[in-house]
Amino acid sequence: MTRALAVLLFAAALLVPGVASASNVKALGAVGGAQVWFAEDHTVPLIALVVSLPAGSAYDPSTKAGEAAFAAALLGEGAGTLDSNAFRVALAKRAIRLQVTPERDDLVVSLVTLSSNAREAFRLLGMALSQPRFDPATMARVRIALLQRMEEDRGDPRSVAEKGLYSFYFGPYAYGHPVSGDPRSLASVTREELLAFVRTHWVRGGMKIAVVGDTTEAALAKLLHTAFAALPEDAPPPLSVPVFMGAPGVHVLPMDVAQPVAFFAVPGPLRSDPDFLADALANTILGGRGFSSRLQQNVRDTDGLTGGISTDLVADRRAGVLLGSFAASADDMNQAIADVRATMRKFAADGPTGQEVSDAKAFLTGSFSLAFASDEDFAARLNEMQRTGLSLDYLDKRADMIDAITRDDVRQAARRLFNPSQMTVVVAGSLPKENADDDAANSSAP
Amino acid sequence: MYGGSVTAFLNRVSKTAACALLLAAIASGAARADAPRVSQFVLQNGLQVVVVPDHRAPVVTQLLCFKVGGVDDPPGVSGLANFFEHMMFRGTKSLPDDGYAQTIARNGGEDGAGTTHDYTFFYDKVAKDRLRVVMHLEADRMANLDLSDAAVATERDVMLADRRARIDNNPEALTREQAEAALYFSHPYGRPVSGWSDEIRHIGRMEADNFYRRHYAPNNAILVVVGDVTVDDVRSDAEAEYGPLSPRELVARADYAQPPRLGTTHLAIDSKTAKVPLLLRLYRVQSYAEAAPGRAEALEVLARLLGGGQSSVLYRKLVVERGLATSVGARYDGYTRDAGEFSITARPRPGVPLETLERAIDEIVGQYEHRLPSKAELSLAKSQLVTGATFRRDSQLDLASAYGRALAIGLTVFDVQQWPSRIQAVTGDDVRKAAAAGFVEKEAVTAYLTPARR
Repeated sequence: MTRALAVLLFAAALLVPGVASASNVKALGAVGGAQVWFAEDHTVPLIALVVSLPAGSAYDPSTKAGEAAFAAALLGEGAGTLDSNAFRVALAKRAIRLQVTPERDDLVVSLVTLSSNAREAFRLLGMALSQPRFDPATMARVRIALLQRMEEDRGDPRSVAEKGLYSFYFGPYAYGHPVSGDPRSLASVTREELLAFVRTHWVRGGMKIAVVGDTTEAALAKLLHTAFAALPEDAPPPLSVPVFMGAPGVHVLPMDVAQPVAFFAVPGPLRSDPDFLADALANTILGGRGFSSRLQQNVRDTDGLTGGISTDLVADRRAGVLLGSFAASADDMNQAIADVRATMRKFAADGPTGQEVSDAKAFLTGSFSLAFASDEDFAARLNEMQRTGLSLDYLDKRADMIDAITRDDVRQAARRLFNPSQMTVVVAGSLPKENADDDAANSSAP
Repeated sequence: MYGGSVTAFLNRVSKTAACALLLAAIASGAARADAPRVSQFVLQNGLQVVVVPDHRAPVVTQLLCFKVGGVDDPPGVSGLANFFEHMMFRGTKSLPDDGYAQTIARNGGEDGAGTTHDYTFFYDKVAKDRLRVVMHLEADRMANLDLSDAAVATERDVMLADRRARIDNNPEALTREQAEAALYFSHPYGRPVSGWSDEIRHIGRMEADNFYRRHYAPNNAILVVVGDVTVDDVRSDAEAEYGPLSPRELVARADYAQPPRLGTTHLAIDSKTAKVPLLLRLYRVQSYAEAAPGRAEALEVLARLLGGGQSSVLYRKLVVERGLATSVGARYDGYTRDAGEFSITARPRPGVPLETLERAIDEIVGQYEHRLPSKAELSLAKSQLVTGATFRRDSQLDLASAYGRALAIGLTVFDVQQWPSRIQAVTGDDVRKAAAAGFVEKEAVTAYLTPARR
């Protein structure tokens, strides 16, 4: 083995140089109200666009949970002169891929097309956004499919636990209900309500656009005009701020399943928090996905209680949570929850090791750059930055910002975040009665 | 979040699921003159190497594909190949415990692995100057794995927990598992890659050790490298890291019979946990490895035409026009060494009996055995498949997987490169013949999943 290789394998972590640079990405001013970032690359003859609109489930009216998701599901189901089938065929003929994902804050739309079909792709996207038809028959068909999926999810402990966690954690606040809504409210949404919703939320105000691929700045300006110029420019009013968050303790949603699933959460930072990156390092060491984390080592590798466990910092616009999940048998569930608590407590008390901090830094720096080898991943990453309010020079500054974080910063982050007595846990499944955890408070679905 | 989005144990739980990840192929000149140039060579120890340069970003993906999978699980020990994929993350003599994962993380990389019935793959995605590092890691664990009784016992518990969460919790996955067991008779494609729980419990260090010595060797593997590299760099790095490994004498895979099915099979699964009924139809058909040139491609076009997305025939007729289903899809999984699988999945609209839905599906697909698809249907399906191949060039992993899975079942680099033009060449009559040869009632299993009445 060469010496250089030995260094890479065994020595303290080296920072991987960032491969994306702000100089490859341009901020364009093409469409009023909407922020546009563009990276030109002609390697593969395709264009990837990711656009977010302020039309997530947090904007659902209080009795209309699921309205935003219903509107999203109908995007592409008929627009302008094309009914649902004609629109689908128009996309399919040119193999244009249109994906629509409603989230809590935003509606995220992604479009991938051969560059040779770009004009038609952007024209269809523009029609879908500015002239949705919401034909009654189409609405009925899509509503039935959405209701059926909700019904199916009621049998999936992962879905039940995740929805339950958000419900307990946020209560009546706009983040508390599932993005998909509930059967009764979804059933009540009318065509007029959908039309009113898209007029105020499928808009250029607050819209963020990221484009990567085989086009030029001038050609793109025209394409964007085609797709977005017809939309209103005004932004919807900002969301209110949640009053309370968290419902500490273990909540069991009883269901008959082979393997119960737990979701857990403690308060986390907003993306604008100056300590966000220190918190991200602490999270990576605790339960970062793709990282050899403490939770993965303790709960999976050593105790063999689960097939996998991870945590994420979920920073929505109005609230941040550190959210984790795992599946374990009913007999092992209490032990696994106790493992999670003990791992957090120890981390908060002792802080990270120097090795952990340098490994997590190298991991966060290096893995961030890997997305830039794909136009589609790159566009998604850029849009994620736009949505979380980061500026373009973050691409260049990020590695240095992470490098500047000290072990003590991460220790303090751990102390702030890892407070197991504040932890909300929701288990979908059952726990054995005889050895129920002391602070497990059984309760029914909210 | 800013971590990698790929977990270390991306286990494919069935042949079908694996194909979902590996649904990738490369476009040839159809898309653009400067489509990627592909090189290949073989090391002295038998390791096959494929290199595809892509210089967009200083990033590289290596995929190592072993020609061993669930088919090679010994009798009574189903799940062993999948288990072994897990054990590859359990440490070597020089890099014990989770040293592999730690090294990947501290080099800012992403990694993952998966097992199918026919092959097992491991991949790493890293900055290009770290290629040598990940080659060193893979070469190390190909030869120097350090299996302890304790690690085997714990990982067995993890496998059981993982199976419960992924399969036993999922009525649709359970239904597919049962249907495949019924479809393939005694052929090991009928045993789940993830293993039956009672057989996973039989796995011990001895079984694992034997499996490792028999199957993990450079002459049983394919290395694919896609990214910001040159062929010369890859050759010298591969020779330095993989070159010193000794080949092993390989035991030929058992040649399992695929006896004709003499009767029809209908499974009715009453599930306590399912909330929504489901119809699953599986056909045992020819794979890319078995079929005469163009035949598997015709099945690919047929699946896309009938049930590939919302513009497909089944979706349009059953979901949109007749309101019998809320979803329907068809898929061809042909990247297998023995039989391939053609599947149709549908969920009935509430109130529609599964029998009615099944009759409607049979009526529609039956027509394609006797008449040619329309020109519009045919060109829609073909252009989606061919463009899909161009889209997948956008992902290093998808591109690497397209070569890995093809070579693992005995196809060539040329086959992968020619795939889009062979799809283009499929005629309406080819599709009709594929339907007539494929939709044989006795070569099918139909499963009804229904929520149990309380």
